[in-house]
Amino acid sequence: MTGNKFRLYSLILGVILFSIVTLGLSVGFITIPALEVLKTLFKMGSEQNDFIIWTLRMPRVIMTLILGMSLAVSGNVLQTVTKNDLADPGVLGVNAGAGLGVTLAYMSMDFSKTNIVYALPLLGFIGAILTFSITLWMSKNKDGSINVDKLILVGIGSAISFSGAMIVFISSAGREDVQFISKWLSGNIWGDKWPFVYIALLLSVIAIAIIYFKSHVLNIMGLDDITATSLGVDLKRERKLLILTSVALSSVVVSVAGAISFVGLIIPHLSKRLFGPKHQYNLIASMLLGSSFLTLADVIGRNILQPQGLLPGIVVSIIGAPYFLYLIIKKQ
Amino acid sequence: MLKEKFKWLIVGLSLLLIITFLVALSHGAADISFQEVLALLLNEYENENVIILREMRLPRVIASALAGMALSVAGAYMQGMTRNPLASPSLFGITAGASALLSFTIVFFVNMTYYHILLVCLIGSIGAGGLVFAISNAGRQSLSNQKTVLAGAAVSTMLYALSDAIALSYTTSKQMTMWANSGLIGVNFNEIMIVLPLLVVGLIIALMYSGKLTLISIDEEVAISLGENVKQLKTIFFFLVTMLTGAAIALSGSIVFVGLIVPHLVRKLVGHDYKLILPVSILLGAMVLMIMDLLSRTINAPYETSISAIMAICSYPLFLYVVKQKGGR
Repeated sequence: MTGNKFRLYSLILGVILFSIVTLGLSVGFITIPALEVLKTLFKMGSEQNDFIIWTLRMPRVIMTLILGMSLAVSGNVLQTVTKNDLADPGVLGVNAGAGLGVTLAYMSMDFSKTNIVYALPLLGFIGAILTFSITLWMSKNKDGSINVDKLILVGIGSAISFSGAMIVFISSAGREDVQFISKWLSGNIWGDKWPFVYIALLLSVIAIAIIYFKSHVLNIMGLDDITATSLGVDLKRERKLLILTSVALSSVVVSVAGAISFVGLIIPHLSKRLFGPKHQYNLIASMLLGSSFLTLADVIGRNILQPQGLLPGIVVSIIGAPYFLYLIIKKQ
Repeated sequence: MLKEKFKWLIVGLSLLLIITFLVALSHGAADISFQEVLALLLNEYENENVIILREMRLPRVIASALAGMALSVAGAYMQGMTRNPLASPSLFGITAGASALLSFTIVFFVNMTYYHILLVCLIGSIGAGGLVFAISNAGRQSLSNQKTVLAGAAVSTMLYALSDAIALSYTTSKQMTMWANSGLIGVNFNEIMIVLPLLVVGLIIALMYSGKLTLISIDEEVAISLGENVKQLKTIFFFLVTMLTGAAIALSGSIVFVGLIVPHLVRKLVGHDYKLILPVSILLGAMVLMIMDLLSRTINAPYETSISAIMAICSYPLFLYVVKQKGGR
């Protein structure tokens, strides 16, 4: 893929993303025409629309954008680093680990206070990194290299067990808590208030920037280890840094939003197919496609089956699973 | 393993099973003494506690034991026929299939009898199991560990999402959650009697075919050269597994990991001959689920904790051990 083609494709994806965002802002319980949405964005709309868009819909749409983008980038990096296109934060148990951290926080802290905005990402990250350490440690071969098959098996097992642990912990708590956790497990986006959006935005931008600056390393990691080492890359160190960053990225957004499966699996695959193996390009594609996909799923979920709607995680699973199964069948 | 040693193992496990049974009966939300348990079993006298035991706890303990037997044997069969140490009913999406189809039918048929639920669970199991089986069999590297587990996980996620979506949109989610997480609550003898024939027939067939299962688990080529029709056998095994699983699910809701962990523990004890593995799996499976059910009743009494969740946590270390030993084949 050449630079010009890349710019054209990104522009197209950008336009698609913008339309989906506008759609997300305009439809809902009260539908606001697209033109009114644009007016309101530039602070020229009516007071009512201003409230609906800036206070109710905007934080949710932005949170969804961040979540989709982060999951897709994190999946992209994990797939490249583990050299397995079926890896992603959900499959590797990272999301479940973050969820366990969130559950413990939810039970021990007062969620009405604002300090949880900072505590949640931290606890989610700690939970995720502990889980991932166990997964990595269990899947090491005798010579210290990582067995990718085992990595995925342990990851899935961890995810199932930790979801169980969350249910056990939470079932000792009150009724509302159970609802919260069961929604979290099916993929809700609950942190749709501005404070959550700010913290998620800040942390994810930092992590994505680090990853993007390492695109050349990711390109080299796609090659075999000997070639990579001979090109002067300290594989062990870079691998650690990249894994840590991508685990941090997904765990932070997952802890303030919710566990959404399949985005991190299928979006990187799709973006590599469209934009080629060069990470300078396909990381951008992952960001654009990931956020478009999740936002679209959320718009669909919020607007079918009124009034309660469907959780975005459920919509994503129903769309994403068939594509993923197709990938499994095709995989050599 | 020596025959003598095997006999002692069976005797020992049976004793343990009886002890577990008595402990499971005498512990729970209501404070019931051991004497009253004996009174129930020996039919001596009757008071309020004895009635609680007979009407509520006894069917539940028996149901958990039956489900444990069925799931362990199903797991052993799956591991044997796929030669995949990680094969088990829940990893193959069978559990999710039953739950998705049940969720779907509850919407349309409000007054379902227990026969209908059982039938729906069986059909759902066969559908989802067949789907995962077909996907992991397609393409090169058929039935490899990773592919099977991933296909199972993906099909499960999708089916659970579908069943959630249906339940939420038709407001049947309360019924579904009750069923999925705590099928053992409120089990009665009528339900047990409906499922029992199916389970007994399934277990007997399973024991009858144990020799052939051993053959297939060692080497398919050898089985073929010995004149076995492997394809036909595998089809029988597949239906056997889904029948046992579907029946267990109808009885106890979706419980994960039993079918994965128990056969592994048993193999550690008796080796690789399924003639020995299956009987021991039956005993151990019954015991494990009785203990899990006891935990789910007592951990947070008088409230229930999801048995599936407890099972998932308790088996995590064992699961890691299994993968560490064999997963990366």
